[in-house]
Amino acid sequence: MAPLSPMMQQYMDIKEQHKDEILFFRLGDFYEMFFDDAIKVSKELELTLTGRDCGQEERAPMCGVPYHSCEAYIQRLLKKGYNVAVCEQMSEPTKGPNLVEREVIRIYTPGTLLEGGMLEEGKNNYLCAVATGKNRCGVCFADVSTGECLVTELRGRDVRQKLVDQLGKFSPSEILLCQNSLQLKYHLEAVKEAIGCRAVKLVGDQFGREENEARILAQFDAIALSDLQLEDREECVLALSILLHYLDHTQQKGVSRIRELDFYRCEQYMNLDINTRRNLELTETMRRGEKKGSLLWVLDRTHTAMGKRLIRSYLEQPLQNIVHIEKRLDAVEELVDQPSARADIAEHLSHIADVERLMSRIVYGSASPKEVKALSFTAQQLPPVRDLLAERHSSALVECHLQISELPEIKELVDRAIEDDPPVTLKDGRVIKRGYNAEVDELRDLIENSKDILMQMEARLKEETGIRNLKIGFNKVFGYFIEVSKSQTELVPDGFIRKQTLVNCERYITQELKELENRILGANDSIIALERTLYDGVCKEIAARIEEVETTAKALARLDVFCSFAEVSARNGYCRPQMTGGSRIQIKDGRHPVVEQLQKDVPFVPNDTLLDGRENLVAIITGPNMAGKSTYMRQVALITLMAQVGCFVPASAAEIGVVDAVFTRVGASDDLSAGKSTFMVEMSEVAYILDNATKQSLLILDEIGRGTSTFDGMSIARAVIEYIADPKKLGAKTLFATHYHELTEVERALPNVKNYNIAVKKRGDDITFLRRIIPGGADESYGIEVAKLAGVTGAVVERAKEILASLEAQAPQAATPAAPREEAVPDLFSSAVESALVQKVREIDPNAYTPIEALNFLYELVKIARE
Amino acid sequence: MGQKINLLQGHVAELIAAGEVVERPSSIVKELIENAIDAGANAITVEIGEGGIRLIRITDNGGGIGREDVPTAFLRHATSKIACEEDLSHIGTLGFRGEALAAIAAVCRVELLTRTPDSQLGTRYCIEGGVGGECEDAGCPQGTTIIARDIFYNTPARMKFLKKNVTEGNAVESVVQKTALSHPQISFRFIRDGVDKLHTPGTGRLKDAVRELFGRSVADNLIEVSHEVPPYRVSGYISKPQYAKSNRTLQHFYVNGRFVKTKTGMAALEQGYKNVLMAGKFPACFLFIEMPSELVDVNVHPAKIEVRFAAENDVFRAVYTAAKSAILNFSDQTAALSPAQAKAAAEQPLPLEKGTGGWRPAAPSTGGSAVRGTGELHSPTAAPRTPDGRYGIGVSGAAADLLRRSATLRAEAQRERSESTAERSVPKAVSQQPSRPSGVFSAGAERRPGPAPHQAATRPRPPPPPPPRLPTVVRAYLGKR
Repeated sequence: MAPLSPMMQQYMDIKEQHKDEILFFRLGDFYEMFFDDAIKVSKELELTLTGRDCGQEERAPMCGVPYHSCEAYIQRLLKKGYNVAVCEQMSEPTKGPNLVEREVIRIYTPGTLLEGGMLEEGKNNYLCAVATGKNRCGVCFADVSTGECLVTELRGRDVRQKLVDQLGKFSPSEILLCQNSLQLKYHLEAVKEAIGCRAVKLVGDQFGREENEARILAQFDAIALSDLQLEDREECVLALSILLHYLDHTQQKGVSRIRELDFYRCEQYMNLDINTRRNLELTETMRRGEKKGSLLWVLDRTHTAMGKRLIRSYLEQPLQNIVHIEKRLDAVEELVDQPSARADIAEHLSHIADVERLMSRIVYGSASPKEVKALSFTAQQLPPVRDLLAERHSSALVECHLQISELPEIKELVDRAIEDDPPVTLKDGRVIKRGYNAEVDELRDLIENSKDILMQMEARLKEETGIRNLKIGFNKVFGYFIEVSKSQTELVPDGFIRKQTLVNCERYITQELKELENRILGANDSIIALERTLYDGVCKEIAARIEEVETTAKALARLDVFCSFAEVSARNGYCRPQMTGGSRIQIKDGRHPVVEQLQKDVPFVPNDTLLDGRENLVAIITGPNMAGKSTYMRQVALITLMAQVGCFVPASAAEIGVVDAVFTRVGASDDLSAGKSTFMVEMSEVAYILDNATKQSLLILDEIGRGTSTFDGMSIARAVIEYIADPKKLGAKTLFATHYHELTEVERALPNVKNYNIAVKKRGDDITFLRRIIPGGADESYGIEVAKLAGVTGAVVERAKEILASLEAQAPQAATPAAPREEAVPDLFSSAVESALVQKVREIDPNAYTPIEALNFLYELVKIARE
Repeated sequence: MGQKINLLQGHVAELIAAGEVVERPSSIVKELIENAIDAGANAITVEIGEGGIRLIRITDNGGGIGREDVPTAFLRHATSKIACEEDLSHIGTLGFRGEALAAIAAVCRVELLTRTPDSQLGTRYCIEGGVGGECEDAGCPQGTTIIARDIFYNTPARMKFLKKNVTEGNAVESVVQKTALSHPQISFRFIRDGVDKLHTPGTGRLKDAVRELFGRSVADNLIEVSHEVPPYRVSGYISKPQYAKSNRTLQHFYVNGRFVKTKTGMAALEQGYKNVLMAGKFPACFLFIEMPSELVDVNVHPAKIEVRFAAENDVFRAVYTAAKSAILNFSDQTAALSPAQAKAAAEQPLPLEKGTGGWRPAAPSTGGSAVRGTGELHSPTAAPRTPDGRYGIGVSGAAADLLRRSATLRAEAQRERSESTAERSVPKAVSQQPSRPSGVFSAGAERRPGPAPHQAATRPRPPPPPPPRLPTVVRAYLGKR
């Protein structure tokens, strides 16, 4: 086989090292792919497949994309699950025989994106690495576009589920799994969809433990692992080093953006499993995965991209520490009281750029001049924001005031160095301001003067030759030329060399002109090169101040979130919750924050809630479907969550005892793809909840026992209630909705269970929902009325009524089980027998009996009992 | 002549009477809002559709109406606000005629939804054209919601007199605005055809409400007013002298908490701005005048906008002095504070010995610089270019002397201060000498005590206000408010 051409050989060499990725090979103004890559990509992206000579008999398949619009294509490939390695030309193409040097400078993967165009503004983009050990699991998350890096250790039972919950919290777009955790791979693949992750990748642990440790210590500038709270956490160290190595491999320019490590414990935050997050629709709706209709949609009135990301993170991680919660609530309260200041702050915030991501690009060297200028505009907004904060008292706001630096040095530098309205790219110059660098100014003057010189030349030539409409023009092909109309060509002197003929004129050059041209164009090129160097210098100087900028950015994000909470609280009439360490949750006139915003025409009917962990531990709610039971239960969960996030709540008063977790079991979802039926799913969820809930948790259980036969379901439901209500077994606050109104008996049996029902008004056959939760059990099921309301055809409804009537006639007791009865639990003995026995026993006096008489009496009793 | 005189049937009589109370959507809204306020609400939402002609919905979180009281509420002359004749002279609430709900129900389709704090379930009640339905159970938040639809659906004649949707809607918006201003402790929300138009925060601070309604440019240019001329008390805000409007739309007067149109108040206010604003320009104000209820008669007009004062002159004086002293304080403050002005003043041999009148801004208050004769020179670039130091027309001799004395004292202090600084501010102040001899004085003219002559010539003098209290002046000298 003939050898490949040198360039193709270069391609193959590089491709060898990047077998798993699509290789974008820079050729002039295009990125080209060859061979298999070309075939794959042309199919996926619907690009034309062409060929190229490669020194062999057959042409190599080739397909390419233009260099300046490659981001869109890369993004599409990423979405389809491919990683893209970009190979750039490192040296200038010369006319010599040597190949241009080429190197892979960057590998694009879903979790390592920096480019604004490929990232969603209001969301972080996390890369996750997981490593498991004996019963422990180290997980770390990093967002290279904002510089965040978090790590935690999971241990105990159910590490897998805990892992899934953490993944659900951060929704990483890429997961790296250590080779030794192969068994997890299948588990993670299964939940990939749910989390929104695009890739799960197995990565080997190539370096030894010492090298891993050294790398981590170097990255975060620490002396010992204990500084980072990583001592004795081998899995965490492993996961972190995998992540760092991967970042290094893909970014190639070092991972300098990630400077701080945040070790967190899961117990710091309210535990929300992945189902609960979905069920409560915290950041997206269940049905369509949209933001509108979620809690985030109601609460997000932030003005900066950083604020948007932070508020999402706040909602995903409600706090458990009352001091921290109060701190946030104080800040929100102060901003609610000061609408003018709040409006002013918001105004300024809306002009502030996404500083976090901007800094990443500056550090990485890929920021455009416009972006750098945006830093200056942002810095302009900072002094008034600080002034507005200067008058505030709450500690969180004072902190913001102290941590927001006005970035004077950066502003001054950018104002001095960068033009006021710079272009988007560097390639055409005009980026550096006059007065910043003498050399650039000189060259610019030269160009200016050249223009004058050209004009003078033109005038002179006109005079010399007598050609009146002689013009000097320029185009990219010929450079400068002298244009003479056809009618005047006789007057053209010898020195003029003809270069181009057009319809109505001829174009010439002269030696003089060409010399001038060289000087001008040379100057132009020099300027561009010089500007590039100066610009890089400016970026480096800015990058050196990264700490100051990051602190400011984080403080601005917090301020933005507080303002957002305050704004929404003021507009929607929320109140400050009273946080306690006790177990009482008491809400007066509580409303569902999302539903009340969605149904604007009808006023939302508020409801009270009392769960105090003692006499009011479990609330059983009965009543027809569609009447609002689920809404009510969700609102209790959401209000508790909002309070622990540090926001005001939709109620007229609320006392919230901090809960350590919220568990929900709602809806009927057939997870058939995973091989589970409705009932199976339901039972697994119940099992998980009973295993993991504690006394401090809040349980929301909606319709347990629905997927199986009536008696089975009712028994299971009852047993669950009894288990939960027993302080020795669980003792967690619970809202339990059920359509089994037989369960209302439990109130009599257990002192800490209370019945509620959702008020319904019945008039003839029609019912209207009053949407009020009132104490007491429901007396009827209203199933048929609801069916009628839902639009089930009249004939079916009528027939159903008939069947119901006949069923009720057959077993009157079963049909109206809530009729008052003497005993809470059905007795084995009939009441008649028992009272006869009791009566008999009451009559005797043991002291007066002889042994024989006592024995006779015993015979009598037995006789009665056996009848 | 030859026509029989008939006794009008009940509902017809009601329709006629109703028309007086309920002329247009804005009157309905006004009545209902006043009911809501009297019910103790701290959040009131007003929603209208098609200018209020098709739909008016008012929701409040007040005390609600009990089930038994609901049908009675819509009867004529039924009110919870007064019970006997005596109460008429001590009307503490806004609504009192017992007409409103009956009138509204007579000419609209009304739906009422209400719940008192102690009931589990609320009440729904519908009444159309005066004919009521039944009270039903309903789920409902605490408070009251009244929905009035299709106003004048049964009186086409009245319907014809209604203006276009936009006009009627604007009138409703105006009512909501004025009420929101007089009750800054209540959060008002106004929705027009599904769009949120305003939403005051209800913090209790008037400035916050002004900011929401009229924006930052107004709210940041207000001077606080707090003045007593017993038994009258005037408080609120007036606009800074440099803020001027070309009409009176931003003038709001409230008597005992009720928005009123009062020529007395407007005249007094404008008199207070006499030498401060250009002719044809008007100030903005949000002034609340409190007086014992015997001194004002609100029962003049059904819409309760016009009122009669028992002692008009006294009211005039109260407002006038309130405005004047506020403006005075403000300008003294800025005069004392502005460093450029202090420096400029120090230049002159006889700073601030102007005493009285004749100082008129040479240009509209926001532009140009004012010549002060031998007094201060304003550089246009100095901070607030208030034509300050207007000791006003009509200040009588004793008062003028007092003011002059304080001015001299102040000037001396400033001179001492600036003598200790090394640099002298120069030419900026001096070079701005737009000579605009304003007729009475030119640079170098001497000050004369007493009212400037031109004043006497042109206009009948308003009654001389009582001399400003000494404390105010001394306080100004000391640089305090």
